[in-house]
Amino acid sequence: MGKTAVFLCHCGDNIAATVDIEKLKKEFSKDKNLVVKNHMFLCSEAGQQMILDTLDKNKDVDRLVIASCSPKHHWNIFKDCVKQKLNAYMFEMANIREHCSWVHSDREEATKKAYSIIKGAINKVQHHEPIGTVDVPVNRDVLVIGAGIAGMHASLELADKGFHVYLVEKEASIGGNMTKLGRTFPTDDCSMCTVSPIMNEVKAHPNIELLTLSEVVGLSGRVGDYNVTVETKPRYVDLDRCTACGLCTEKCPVSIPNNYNLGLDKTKAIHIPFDGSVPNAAFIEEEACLKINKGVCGICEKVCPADAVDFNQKKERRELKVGAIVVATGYQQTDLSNTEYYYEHPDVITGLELERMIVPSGPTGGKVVCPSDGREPKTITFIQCAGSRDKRHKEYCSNICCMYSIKNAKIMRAKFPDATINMCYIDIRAPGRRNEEYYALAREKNINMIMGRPSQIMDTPDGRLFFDVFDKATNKFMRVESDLIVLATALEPSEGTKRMAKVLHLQYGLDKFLSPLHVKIAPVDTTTEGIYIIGTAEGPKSIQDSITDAGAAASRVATILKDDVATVDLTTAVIDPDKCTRCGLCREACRYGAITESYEVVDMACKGCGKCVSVCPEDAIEIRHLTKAQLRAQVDGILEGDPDSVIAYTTETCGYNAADIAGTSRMEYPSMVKVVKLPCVGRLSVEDILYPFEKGAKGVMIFACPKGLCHYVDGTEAAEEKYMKAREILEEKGVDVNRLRFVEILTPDGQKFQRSCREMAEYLKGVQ
Amino acid sequence: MMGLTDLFNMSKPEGDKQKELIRQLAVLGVKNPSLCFQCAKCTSGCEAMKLLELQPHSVMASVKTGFLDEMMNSDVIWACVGCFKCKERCPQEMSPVDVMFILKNWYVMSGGSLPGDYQNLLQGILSTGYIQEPVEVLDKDNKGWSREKLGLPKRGHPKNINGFMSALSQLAAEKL
Repeated sequence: MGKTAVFLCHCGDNIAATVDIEKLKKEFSKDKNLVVKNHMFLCSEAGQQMILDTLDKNKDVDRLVIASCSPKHHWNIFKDCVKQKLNAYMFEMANIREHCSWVHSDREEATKKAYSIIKGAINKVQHHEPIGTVDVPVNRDVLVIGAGIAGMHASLELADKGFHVYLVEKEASIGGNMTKLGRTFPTDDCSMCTVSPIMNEVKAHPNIELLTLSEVVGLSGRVGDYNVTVETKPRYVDLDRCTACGLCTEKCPVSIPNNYNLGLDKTKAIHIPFDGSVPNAAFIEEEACLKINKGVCGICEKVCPADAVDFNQKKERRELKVGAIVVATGYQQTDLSNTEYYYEHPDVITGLELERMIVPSGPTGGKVVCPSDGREPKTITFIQCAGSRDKRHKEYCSNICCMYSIKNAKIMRAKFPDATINMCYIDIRAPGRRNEEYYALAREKNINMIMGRPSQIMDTPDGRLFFDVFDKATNKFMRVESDLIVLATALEPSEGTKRMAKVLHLQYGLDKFLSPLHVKIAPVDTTTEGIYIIGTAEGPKSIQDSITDAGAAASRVATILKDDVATVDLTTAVIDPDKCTRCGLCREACRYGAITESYEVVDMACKGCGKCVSVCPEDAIEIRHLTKAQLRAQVDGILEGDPDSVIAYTTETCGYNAADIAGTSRMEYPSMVKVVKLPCVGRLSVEDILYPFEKGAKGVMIFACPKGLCHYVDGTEAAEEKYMKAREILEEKGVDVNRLRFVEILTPDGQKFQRSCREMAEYLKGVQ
Repeated sequence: MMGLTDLFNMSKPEGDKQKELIRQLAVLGVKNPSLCFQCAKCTSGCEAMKLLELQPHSVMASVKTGFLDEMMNSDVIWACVGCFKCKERCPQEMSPVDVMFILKNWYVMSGGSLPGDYQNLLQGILSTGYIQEPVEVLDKDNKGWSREKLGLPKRGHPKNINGFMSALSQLAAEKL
């Protein structure tokens, strides 16, 4: 075996300020098998060149360790660099930034920990083997889920590039929330006039296949080769025959609240979703129809001149094969009932309800009235941040409310020149092109800006709405009486978005919005390659930002599907036929059917989670890029560097990400905790869990993805089972079982990571 | 923070006291007041705002910047009636009411005497067991209701008033 090169990155002073790079260099240089170099920014062109030069000059170096930031950040950059000289997997990254310099302030302590982490990486890389690749065919069809403005725009972009797009929408018409808005900032143009041509373009595009009343219910496969199950509800109307004449709606005897108008008026059980809907055809609301539920009526069928009503339609399932998926499932308004932000009174409405009243074709014919009695409002009050920026409800800022409320206040002023218009706010947030100018225009409109958050809305015995508010600007405590109160209700992910997180196994934040791979440099990517998130499924955002997202995702899809074949790294499982006794345990554990009856691994089916490894009694199966030898060598190295360590096994996703987020948020925790990354904690065998104890570790922690959110179906359950067994063994041997801990953690929960580590260290301090 | 000076009275922030306050709040499970973003919802809902001009958001701002002495020695904090609405409704899970309780305790421990009205209240409690003899309550329409009319039982009084007083005093002394 050749030598190992160790590269230490200063990362400006991100690492070097707390970790003594010179001292590390001196220490590691003592080992004659190591070639040690340092650089201000290893990821820079100069830094990468230094890596290449070092490999050129030292021909006996055949593997390397890069001690820098999180592999989540720059692994691909260094992989591409290493690939020029060696096999792409002949290096290991030691994360001494997120897991060290950013979470410790004591220089000596941080340096000691960095030494231990790097030592682990050096030991591990000794066991690295070249990883092969295989070419797989790529399916160039694309699935877009959700046909709001973001989904439609992404579909058109992709269809124009020549990709065949399946656009799946759960409602009866495409168009999304934008079809409900009156006017949109900062141009004040009519929303339907903007979105309607886009809807028609989507419908007419030869490369787009539209599936309305449909939802994605299942997913399998991988990038370039996804199998998607789509369930389509019966419309009970033949799309090819319906002429949208509306006769059925006229004759239908069942009156129901009109969801499109947020229940502000009524419609019938069979109806056209809205004027200008696409497809422009009637559909039947299953739950309300007498014929479907009670077998009576059927009037629509009789009166339809086109013979389009068809009660024989059934729920259908369809399997789609696609190469990439774009998720654009959008937002909904938060239900604020039973909070002090809401008050049960017809004249307390949401911003979206006001939009419906502004639209000329809306339930009030474009007249803004008090819903209680239809009178014209003399005083209109906007209350901002209703439910947003509140730790008890939605901790985040809903992003668009300042702008749309300003827009609505302007419209109200135009409609009611003599009305009193108030707006209660905490801050006005108007960044973005033309937004501050838009706010400036609104300030000319004589709107009372009250700098304070009301505590509670009430009404007088005769039904007049009022609330008290302290205005920080005038230093006055004011009673505000209003005819109409408009709440800037917090946005939250739609039910569809929440469902897609489960069906597609996507990561989401504490706010329940879908999480991007990297909030800054990979804003539409997800942790699953080939699945992209756009629009308000990712977080509250404006129409323009949603469209930007859509273009970005279309570009990402085009990049990933540009060739008919893709090269995939074989970081999969491999069976040693000499050791294998064909006991069947691995086949039972595998959730992907990746092990054949003749005990061979199907590379394309294997996801590399390692659950098979954890159950094999003969040590006959290995994951190619995380062998037992590698794992144990890393633990040995860490403990050699710092014998008082706690080994924290993490999943590659939630667990490791949470530790990284603790780093980026500078959440300090005891330096004894050292992270060891696994693809999934399901990879851990009982022996793996106990191994660090044998080697003198102070403790072992297992950070698993929460049950039900495991990226490999049930790795968390598998690991918990091993954990329980390991506990029993520890107990038998008289080892304190509290030194072994199992923590379920979500990606964004850096705080829980910090808390768990602190609790562990506190406990260990207590028992010593 | 130490670079700040209040030009009205030339006072400086008191970092140590601020740290101690944050520590005591933490014991109560209350988060660091520096998380307050001054939306003033507490003041909008404050029961003592209208009559006594208590502005909890302003108390929180003083705590955040460390100007504690002035706040501790002012009458304003004694206006708090301890209804806990500010704590209940704070969007950032702050607790102005606990801040004011702590400041009141510090004031008394540093030898300050209770404001006049409080002395009367205290006297009321010691002699009758009540802050005030409840006569009647007002409803939403300002109509008065006596306890009798509401069908409530007669109120009791401490039977051994001297024993009651000494027990209370002893408790107060232990607390301090």
